[in-house]
Amino acid sequence: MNRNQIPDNPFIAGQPARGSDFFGREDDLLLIEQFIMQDEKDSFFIKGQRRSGKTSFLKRSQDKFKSEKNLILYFNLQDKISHTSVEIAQEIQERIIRYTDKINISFNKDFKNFLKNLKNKVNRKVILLFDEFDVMCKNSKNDEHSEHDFVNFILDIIIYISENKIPVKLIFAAGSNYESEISKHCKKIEDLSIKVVLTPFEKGTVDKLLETSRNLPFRENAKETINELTSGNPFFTQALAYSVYDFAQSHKAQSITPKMVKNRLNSAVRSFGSGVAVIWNDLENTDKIILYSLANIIEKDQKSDLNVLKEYLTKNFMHIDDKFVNESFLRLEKSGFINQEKSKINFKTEFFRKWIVLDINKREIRDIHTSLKKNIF
Amino acid sequence: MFNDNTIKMNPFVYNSPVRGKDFFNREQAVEKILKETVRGKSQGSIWITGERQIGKTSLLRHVQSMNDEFNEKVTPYGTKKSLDVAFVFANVQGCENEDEFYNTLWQGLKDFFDFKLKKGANGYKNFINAMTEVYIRRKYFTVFLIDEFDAFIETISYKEIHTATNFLAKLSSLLQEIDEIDEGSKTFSCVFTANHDIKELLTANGIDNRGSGLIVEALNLKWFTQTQVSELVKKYMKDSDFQFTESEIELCFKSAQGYPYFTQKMLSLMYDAKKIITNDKQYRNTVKVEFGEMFKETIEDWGGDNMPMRTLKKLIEMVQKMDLGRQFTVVVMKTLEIYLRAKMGP
Repeated sequence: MNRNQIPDNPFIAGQPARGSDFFGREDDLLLIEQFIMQDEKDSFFIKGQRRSGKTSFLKRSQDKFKSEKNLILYFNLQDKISHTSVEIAQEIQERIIRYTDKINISFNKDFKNFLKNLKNKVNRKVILLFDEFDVMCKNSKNDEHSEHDFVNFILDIIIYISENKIPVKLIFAAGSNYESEISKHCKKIEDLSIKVVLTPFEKGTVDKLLETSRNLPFRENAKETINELTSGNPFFTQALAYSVYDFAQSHKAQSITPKMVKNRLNSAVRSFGSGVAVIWNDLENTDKIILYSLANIIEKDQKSDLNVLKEYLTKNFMHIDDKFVNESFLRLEKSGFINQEKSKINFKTEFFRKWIVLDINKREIRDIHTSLKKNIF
Repeated sequence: MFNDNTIKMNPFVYNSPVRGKDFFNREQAVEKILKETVRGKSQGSIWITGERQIGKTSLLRHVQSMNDEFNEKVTPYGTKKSLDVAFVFANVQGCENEDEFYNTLWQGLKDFFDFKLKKGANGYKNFINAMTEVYIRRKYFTVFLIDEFDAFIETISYKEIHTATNFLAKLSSLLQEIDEIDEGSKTFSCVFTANHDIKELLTANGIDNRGSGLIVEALNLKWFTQTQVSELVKKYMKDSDFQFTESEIELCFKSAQGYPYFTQKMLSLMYDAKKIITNDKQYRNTVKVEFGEMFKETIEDWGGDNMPMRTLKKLIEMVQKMDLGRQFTVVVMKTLEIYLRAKMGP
């Protein structure tokens, strides 16, 4: 079977962006480059909301800065929660050994001794990238005993590296909807590190990303529409652009219009809902109820102010204490999900709002509501 | 009157996956699968949802059958490699744990490649060894066509929720890259079939989507349109001694609403009845009654426990539109409403 050569969809949704598909973050990449070259700090902490591009950023850093002088190894911790810190340390050693096979460095039960040997024998910096680090920290915000023991282990290693001038650097990526959701030892690691928070793309970056579609260009107002609907969230932007491109290509369009973008929103939300669900799942239950209510008020074209919201909550759930609504509001505003302009409450990202309307049903929200303790509402 | 000496087989298929030339009406779905898993810039995975007997397995088997003629190469995203593609089918419904899951994938690879690797005690290690052989030595990119994936997830989460959470986190990592094989590139994609969409499945079983979660493109298989039913009939009855009229096709569509299984079943009943009943009114009444009974039995057989809410609601809508008489509607609706009440809870 041979197919005609038609341009591939240039957008990628749900996969880390590689090579020239990686956009923006120039300042943050410069910070990584400087971090790798300097000797004062041994750890770097990347924070960002779910689907903000942390993995893409780590992969880009790995591709850009690996060299004969820098051995950069990537570790995904999301499936390591059932492993002990000893097992994880063993895996790290095995990988380092695999990539330094011409040098006689062998496995050592004591990770610190292994690092000491590394210093003596290997003439390269070893940079370890730990993705999904939040999974290790997640169990409890304040109880240091319930986080995975790998966190304490790696904190100890950071201190050892620093004291013994071991040429190893650690970069952590942690995703969370909320800044405050981090355990005590994770906070210590963060405090020891150079920090970066990955924010949504600026308009210029979104435009550049969309301009990669040369065979099927986005009109200027189509780019604006994408910006409005996704608020620069990298995943939403790629998902919507991918869907629209597919549609335009199959209809043999010459260019992509704002109308196409708006018409494909629902389809993009449905196609890539699994990625959006990750954001939703990480929300506090009270915030889910507030966002669900707001999303539906806006869907019905109603005025989305605080009074209308409270009325909706009372009608559909039960009377709520202003204190909890306000706390939720502050949290959601700080995390960038909503903003308030005078009395009006806006949903920051239409793509996310649409997903809530299409994918979350009332029953699910009622179940969430019932599971909350009485004194929350 | 029909000549009994030229009895031809009923061409309609409803009790097994549709194969070969009988596969029909899913060109867009096939194109989407190929685009997402191998033809696109990066190699993603797809989650195919659809009601029971809508044709999910038939779709996977059809993609599997493309192995002989699919000669396009794939460049795994982020690499410069140029690899052949293997579509490997695996039904995981009967798997009771992760070991069996990975061994099922291993077996699928062995059936395709006929390699000489020994099967060890650890399913995951078997899978890794096989993928090393396939990706590195034989230079193939694999697309696993994983049937009944939700059944497997339900099985392992029933035993212990964290098992399912950990398993999905692991699978999600493997889909990005297999640490044991190569640094930084995808080695396989997956096409999953399920009665539930991924969010429904996780929510219903209390499973967390740990970390970045399993990101898949969703594909919801649709029911046939009346035009598609008409084309299906033309294709299947190409060599038949008789043909269905437009009015008969409309009868089929009104009864089965384009639901693939019920459409094939109705057409099958119509085919057999038309051969022996010459009176048109009698023929139509007979097929309506037989179809109604078959439908009722099928719904009872399927039961309500594992039926996703979405399917249940679609069946209720379907029955309300069917033109099979008041008695039938009342009886079947009663059954469906019992299922619905059980799902909604107190």
